[in-house]
Amino acid sequence: MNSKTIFLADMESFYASVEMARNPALRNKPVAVCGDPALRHGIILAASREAKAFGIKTGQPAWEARRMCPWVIIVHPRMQAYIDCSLAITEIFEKYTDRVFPYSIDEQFLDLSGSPSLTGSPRDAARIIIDEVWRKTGIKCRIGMGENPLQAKMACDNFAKKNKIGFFALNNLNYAAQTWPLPIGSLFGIGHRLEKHFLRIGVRTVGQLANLPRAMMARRWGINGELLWLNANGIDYSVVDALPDKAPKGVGHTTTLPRDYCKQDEIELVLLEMTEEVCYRVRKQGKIGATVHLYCRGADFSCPTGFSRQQKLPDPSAMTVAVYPTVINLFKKFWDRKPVRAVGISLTGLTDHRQLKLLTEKTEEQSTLLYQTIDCLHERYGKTILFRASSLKPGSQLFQRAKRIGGHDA
Amino acid sequence: MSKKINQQFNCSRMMLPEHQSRLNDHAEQTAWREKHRRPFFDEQHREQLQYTLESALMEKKPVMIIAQNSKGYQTVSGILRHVNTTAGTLYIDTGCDNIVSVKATEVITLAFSD
Repeated sequence: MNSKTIFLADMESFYASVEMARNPALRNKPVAVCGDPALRHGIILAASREAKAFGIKTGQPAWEARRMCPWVIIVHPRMQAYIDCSLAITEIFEKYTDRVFPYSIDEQFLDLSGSPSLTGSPRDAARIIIDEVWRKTGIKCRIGMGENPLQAKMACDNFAKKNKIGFFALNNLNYAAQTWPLPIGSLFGIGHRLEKHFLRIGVRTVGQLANLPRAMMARRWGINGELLWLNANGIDYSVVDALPDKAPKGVGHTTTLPRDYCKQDEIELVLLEMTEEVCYRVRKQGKIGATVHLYCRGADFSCPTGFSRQQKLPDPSAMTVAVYPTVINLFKKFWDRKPVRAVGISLTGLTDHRQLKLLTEKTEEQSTLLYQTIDCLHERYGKTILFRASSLKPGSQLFQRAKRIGGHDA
Repeated sequence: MSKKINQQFNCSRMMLPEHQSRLNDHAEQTAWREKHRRPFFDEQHREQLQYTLESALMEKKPVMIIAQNSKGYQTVSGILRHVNTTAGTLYIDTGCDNIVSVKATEVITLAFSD
């Protein structure tokens, strides 16, 4: 059986690199892309290599980054520009293969199996791709190669990102030798919590996990345990799918509030606005949802509070008037009256809107028509062209969210 | 086998909705371009087309023309009445005094009907 050739291309410090490509004056300087501190989004989203040299890391608060490097240049995020750049890079990759799978905004899988070797060896192909991405976008790309996506990801994260040429290849023959000595936290699928757990039970390296019995891993941790065992042994059954995921299983929004919200009516107002956003996106896909999920996080990090609960709707719907009562019901039932810092709503169990009841009430038809009209206006003129009067009250987030992508300025 | 094991990267994928939407649009545009890509003609095919065009004009024999435009493929059958070399347009009489015009640059195939 012919072995596959899978690349995982990762863009170095992506947001910071896009900013430096746009503004050459920022090159070779410590640059950090950071959300708006005034809105509690003052977290480092990306730091340039020069900023990282001072110990600045993604996820740190801005004030901590400034303490590490007082002359760090803080740049506000421009999410639309990052999406545009990511798409431009996807188009570069599509010149080499039609099987390109964007995994996130700054990581993309490429399946070059069976592609004519016009560019020579896979290593040569990687070098050519890296050069082209640099020439056309000013972004530094690192490529890990493997016989499956997992090996490519491990090669990129643990080796290509750390060597000078920005390329490393793993395969079935060298996987154990290269990855088994690595610390357990290096294995894809192991986050901080699992890492601590494995260290507690004496599993310190990838190799030690790989040599645990597979059945034991499955028995103790279920599917996740079995998956980790497969990853530790370099086995991965997934396929690089060129087509984007067109049928999401659910739609959701989460937001960090600009201040702690203590009043019930203010929180309910934000929940109403977010319910409208979620329902709009579900309607846009021509779907209706069956289950509402509500997530609330408390304000005190040292003493985490909050809840994440779900409830089925009486009838599947994508109309605010039908979904919001369930949202409020969950909120009133589980809120502990403590200040709230972040909220999230999602609608899952999506089905096609055509699958309606045979006998639809007239009022439901009228509501559907009303929402369709409002959606049309929003798409043409923006979310703020028509809104509920309640969004003029203090605590509303409608106008702030209308300008943002991913919670940050577009 | 579990979906999580078969598609672990699909399950752990983190995509902004706006990014996903742009990718979906891009995939649709790419599919449309591929579907409407104009075939490449070598010199021999172009010469054959030219020869058939001239014969059809002189002998007034019925022809079948397949053209590719932005709306897709168009098939026209009839007698070639006139060619406007300046505008690059062919005029075909499909019968009952119905004249259909086709741009010469859109022609893929031109052959005698009989």
